[in-house]
Amino acid sequence: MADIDLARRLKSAREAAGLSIAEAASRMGFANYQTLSNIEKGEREVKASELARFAKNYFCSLSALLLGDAAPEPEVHFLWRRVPATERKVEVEASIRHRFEQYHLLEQLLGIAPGGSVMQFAIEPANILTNSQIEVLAERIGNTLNLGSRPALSLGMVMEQVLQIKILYVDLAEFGSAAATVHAHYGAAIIVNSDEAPWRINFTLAHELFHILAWNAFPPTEIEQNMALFRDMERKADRFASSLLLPGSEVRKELESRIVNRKLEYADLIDVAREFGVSTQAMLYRMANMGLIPWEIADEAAKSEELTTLDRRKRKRGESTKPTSDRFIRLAVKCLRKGLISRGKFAEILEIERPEIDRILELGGLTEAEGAAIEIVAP
Amino acid sequence: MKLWLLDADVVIKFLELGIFDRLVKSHEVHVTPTVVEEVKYFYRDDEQVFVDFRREYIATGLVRESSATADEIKNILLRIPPLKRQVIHDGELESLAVLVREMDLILCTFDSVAIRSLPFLGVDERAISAERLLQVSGLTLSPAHKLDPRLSEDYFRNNLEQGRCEYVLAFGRK
Repeated sequence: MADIDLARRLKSAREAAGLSIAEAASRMGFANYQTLSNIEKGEREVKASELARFAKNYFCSLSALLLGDAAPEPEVHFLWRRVPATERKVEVEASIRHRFEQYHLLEQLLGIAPGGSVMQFAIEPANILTNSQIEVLAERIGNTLNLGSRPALSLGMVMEQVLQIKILYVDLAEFGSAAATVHAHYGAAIIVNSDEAPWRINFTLAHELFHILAWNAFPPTEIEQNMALFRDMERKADRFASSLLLPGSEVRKELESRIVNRKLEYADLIDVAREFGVSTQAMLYRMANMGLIPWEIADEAAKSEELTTLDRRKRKRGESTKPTSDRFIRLAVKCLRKGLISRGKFAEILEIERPEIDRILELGGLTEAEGAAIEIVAP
Repeated sequence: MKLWLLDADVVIKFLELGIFDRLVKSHEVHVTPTVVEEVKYFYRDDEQVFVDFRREYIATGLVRESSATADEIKNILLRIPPLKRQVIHDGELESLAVLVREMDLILCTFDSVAIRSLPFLGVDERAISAERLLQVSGLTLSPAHKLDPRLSEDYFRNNLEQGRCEYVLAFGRK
């Protein structure tokens, strides 16, 4: 006889994943939706192999389906730069939430408290009223985190390792946007479109960092309900990202060495932008807010076809590889090494085929072996 | 021996070592449908070797496929601590459920989490290391292959002992 509790949980899990019964049935490989409908009514038994597929398609665990393990409380709330289309929003968020949970699970297994350290930099509304206040904030964060003269080169790593912000690279496809979240138990996370160019990813990270810092002062629900506030916060986050990635004195120094007769060639502009790990457009707007060029000129150049073409030619990405979170991989390897996750779970978390496990470990210079230990004598 | 191979890793490793075909001749080998699905290829001399496991081994009757019911998996989940439930792959949970049901199966695995779970399921006496399996099957590796430490009897024993300690910590003495 079918398990009626399981049937109910399957229905709730499908709804939580934002899937219609027809869409879910198709993903499950059922010939028609009637099969799934019967399962959800408790009129048909579920096979074990189907259960595993349900868990995968509904972004949840087997134990959530079989034992009803509770969903995280409070709910994970994402603040999107551009909200995904309504019909896919729930599904996109469910899949990201699952990744967020897996990342948290790795931390939990290793006894790492989820990133509270970033909130020590939390900002008050009164401290980000003006552009100059935002510049001061960016400078303070850059200095405190020792980001150096080319912050983009280390920002991602520092955000993950020092601030313990989880960076989730997700193939957002047509949802080409980014989001941030702060959760009471899981910590902070930034969702980045893995298809973005590296220099755009750098800007996204800095932009979303601002939203995390302002999370408590400006709750996302407040921002989402107030378009004027949303636009203002986006503008401030852009200003913060620009100031953080492009420290004024360093940018000025670099540009001055290339300016001849008060002119800066497009090629030099692109080179400087590349050196700082930002887009050429970001560099132009930074030059405008530093007062080096008028805003109209920055805007005009940013849209110039000549600059865009030259930029594309100079920035050929060659064999581009998808960005990955180093910290996430290292935590997963550490869990595997310590026997805290099974190899099957490791492959599932990293979304790789089984035969690739050893190759990933080998190529990444990672190893499953613990090795000998040395005794530390100092307290 | 009625041999139960826990996961795709074991099959892939034996294929890689070139001993899988000899094992299926010496033993009655069983796997779950997940293993059948997951064994798609393996590496030998850095070359990808594709394998249609269902066609080559299941359809020919060389390997038998067994699955568990939802209730049997639920029973396994209830016997292991909540955090441990999250760290075992779904396919491995099914595999453990079949092992608990079929009393005459002998498990072979080199997954440390799976080995450590055996005491929680009361099946720690029904498992064997890959090294031991090779020995009892009269198989030796070619000189080019150095036994992966994870396949060794020591690795297996250490993890089994660790699992027994974890069990005692979680539920008290057996």
